[in-house]
Amino acid sequence: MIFENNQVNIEGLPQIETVDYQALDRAYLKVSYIGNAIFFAFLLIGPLISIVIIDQAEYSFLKILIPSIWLILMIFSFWITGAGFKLKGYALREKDILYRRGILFRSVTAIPFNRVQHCEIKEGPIERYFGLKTLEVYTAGGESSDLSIPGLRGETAQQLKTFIVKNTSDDDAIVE
Amino acid sequence: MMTQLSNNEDFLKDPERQSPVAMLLILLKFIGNIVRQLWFIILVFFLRPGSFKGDSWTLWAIGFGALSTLFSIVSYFKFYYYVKDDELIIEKGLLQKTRLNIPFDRIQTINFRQNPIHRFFNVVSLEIDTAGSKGKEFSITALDKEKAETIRSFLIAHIPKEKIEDKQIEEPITTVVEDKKLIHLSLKDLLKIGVGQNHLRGIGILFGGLFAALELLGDDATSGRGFVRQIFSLFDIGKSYSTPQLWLYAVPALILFLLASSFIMTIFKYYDLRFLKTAKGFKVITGLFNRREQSASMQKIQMIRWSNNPLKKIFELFDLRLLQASSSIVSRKQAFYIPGIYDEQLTAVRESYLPGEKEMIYETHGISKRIIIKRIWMYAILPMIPAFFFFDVMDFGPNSMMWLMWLPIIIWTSFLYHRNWRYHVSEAGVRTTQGIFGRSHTLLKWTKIQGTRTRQSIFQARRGYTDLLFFTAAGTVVIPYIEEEKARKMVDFALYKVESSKESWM
Repeated sequence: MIFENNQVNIEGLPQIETVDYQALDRAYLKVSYIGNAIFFAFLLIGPLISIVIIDQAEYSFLKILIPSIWLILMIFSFWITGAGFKLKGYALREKDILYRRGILFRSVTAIPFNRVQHCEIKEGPIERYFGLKTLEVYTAGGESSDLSIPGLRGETAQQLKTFIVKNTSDDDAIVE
Repeated sequence: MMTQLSNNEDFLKDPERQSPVAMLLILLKFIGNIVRQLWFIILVFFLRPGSFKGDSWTLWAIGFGALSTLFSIVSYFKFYYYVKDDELIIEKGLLQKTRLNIPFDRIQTINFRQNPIHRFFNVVSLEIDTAGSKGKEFSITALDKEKAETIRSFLIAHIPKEKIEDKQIEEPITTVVEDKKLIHLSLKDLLKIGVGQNHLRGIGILFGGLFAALELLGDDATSGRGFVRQIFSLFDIGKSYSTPQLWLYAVPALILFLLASSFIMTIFKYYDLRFLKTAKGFKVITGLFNRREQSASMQKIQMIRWSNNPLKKIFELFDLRLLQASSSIVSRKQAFYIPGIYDEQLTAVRESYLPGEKEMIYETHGISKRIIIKRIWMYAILPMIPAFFFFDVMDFGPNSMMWLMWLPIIIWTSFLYHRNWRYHVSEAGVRTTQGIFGRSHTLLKWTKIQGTRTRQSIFQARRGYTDLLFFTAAGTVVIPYIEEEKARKMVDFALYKVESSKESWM
C-alpha cells in the first residue's frame, strides 16, 4: 500500500450538516401512538384504584390529583411522540449511517460501517401488524452507542442491512 | 513440548479435581469474606469482650466454623474440569449444578495468581478471561503449578492459529522475557502514593463501621454524649476532656489514622510494583502478599487516562489507566491501573499509544460558560426545591444554613469546572483535560472511535451548543457544552479519520 499523507482540507470533508434525513414511515406514528395508548391504559389502574379506595374526606383531593397527573402525563407523552416523529430520521452515506432523534434532547448518532459488529432486523407485535421493522446496528462501543432505527418498511430494512453488511465486509477485504 | 501436546487428543479427557489445597483456600476465602463484612463486630469483640457474654456466641462460632468447613470440603469434591470438543469445561455447584463451557477460540488471557498459601503449597490459581462473555471470569482455585503450566501450554497450542495474532496470551511466569522496565516503585514512591490517595472514601468506610459499632455498644450510644466522645469511649480514653478539646484531638488523630491506613493499603496492594513495557504492550506485577500480574496489549488499549489530585500534584505524581476493549462495564472499571507514575514514564506510555504525540500540534479549546449555570441548576437549585417542601429552609435554623453553604460551594466548584475544562484536537487524536481540584486527562486516537453522537437539550439547542460524545470499546468520552459548529467539525473529522484509515481499532 502506498503511504498516503495528503494534506486534509477540513472544509472539504463530507459534512454532516448538509445531509438530508430520510423520515420514518408514516405508519410508525400510529405504532407509537398505539404503544403509548396501551401503556397509559395499564397506568389507568392507578387513578381507578384511587377513586374506588379513597373514602376519607381529608384525602379526597387525591381523587382529583392522581387522575389529573395521569392525564397530564398522557397528553405530554402523546405530544412528545407526535412532535418527535417529525424529527426522527436516518441518512445513509457511503461510509456511515446517521440517525437523528429527540425533541427535549436532540441527538445525531453516526456509526461508520467499518466499526459495525453486526446488524439485526427486529419487529414487535404492533410493528408487525403495520408491516414495519426495526434495524439494529451494533458496534463494540457498548449499549449506549448501538443504533436502533424503527419504523422501516420490511424491504427498506432489508436493503439497509444488506448495504451496511456489504460495506462492513468490503472494508476488511480491501488489500491493496 | 507444545507440538507434542497439541497432538495429544486425550489430554484431560477425564474429569479431574483440583489440588486438595483448594479446600483450605475456599475455607479461608469464605471466612475472609465474612470478616470483611462484619469487621465492626470483631472490633467491638476485642474492645469490649463483655458485650459477648453467654454461651450462645461460642455456639454460633463453632456452628459457623463447622458449616464453612463442610462447605469447602463439599465444594472441592463437586468441582471438576475437563476438555471436550475444543472446549474447557468446568462443573461445579453444591445444590445447583453449574457447567461452564469455555471454547478455546474465545480465550483472551490466561493468568496465574498466587497468594502466600498458594506459594507455600506450590500451587497456583488459574484464571481464564474470555471475550464477549459479559465479564464472566473462569477460575480454578488451586492447581499444582506444573499441572497449571501444562494446561496453559495446551490451551495456547489449541487456540486457532489465526486468532493468536490479535489475542494476547501471557508468557508463562517461569519464562524470562526481555521487557523494558518503565518504573519500579520504591518505598518512598509508595509513601507519596499513600499520602496522595483519595481519603474521602476512607472517611466513609471508617464512619460507617464506627456507627455500626456504636449501635452494637447500645447503652453508651444512647446516653446523649457527643459522637466524638462515643468514639473515644470505645478506646477508653478522653473521658476527662470537654467536647471542644476532644475535637482538637480527634481531627489530627483522624488525619493520622487515614494517612496510616492509606499507606498500609498502598503497601499491600502496590509493594514492589513493576511496570514493564513488553513486546506487545504493557505489564504490571504488584502486591505484597497477593501477587498480581496483569497485561495490556497495545491493540486492546483504546484510550489512556492519567490524573492527579492536589496532593499528588505536590509530588509530581500521576495515576495512569490504560482502558482496554471489553464487552462489560464491570471489567472496564477494573482497568489496567498504575497508582503512581512520573512525567517521564507517562510520556513514554503516551508516545507508544500515539507515536509522535510529543511533537504533535494541538489546537486547544474550552467549553461554554453556560455549563456553570447548568451545574448550578442541577446540583444546587433543583435539589433545593424538594428541600423547600420538606424542611423549612427559610427558618434560618441549622438546615437552612446548610443549604446556604451548599449554594456558594456549587457556584465556586462550577466556576473551577468550567475554567479547567479543555479539549485539545490534533491530526491523530483528541485529548481532554478536566477536574475541579485535580486534573484528569484522557487521550483518544481518532481511529479508536466506534461512533459519535451530538446531544443537545432544548436549552442548549436554542443557544447553539451541544454535548459531543465519542464512543469507544472501552467507554465513552464526553465533551460537554461546546459550540455546535466546533462539534460538527470534529464529528466530520473523526468520521473521516475512522473511515479513511485502514488501521483497525483492535
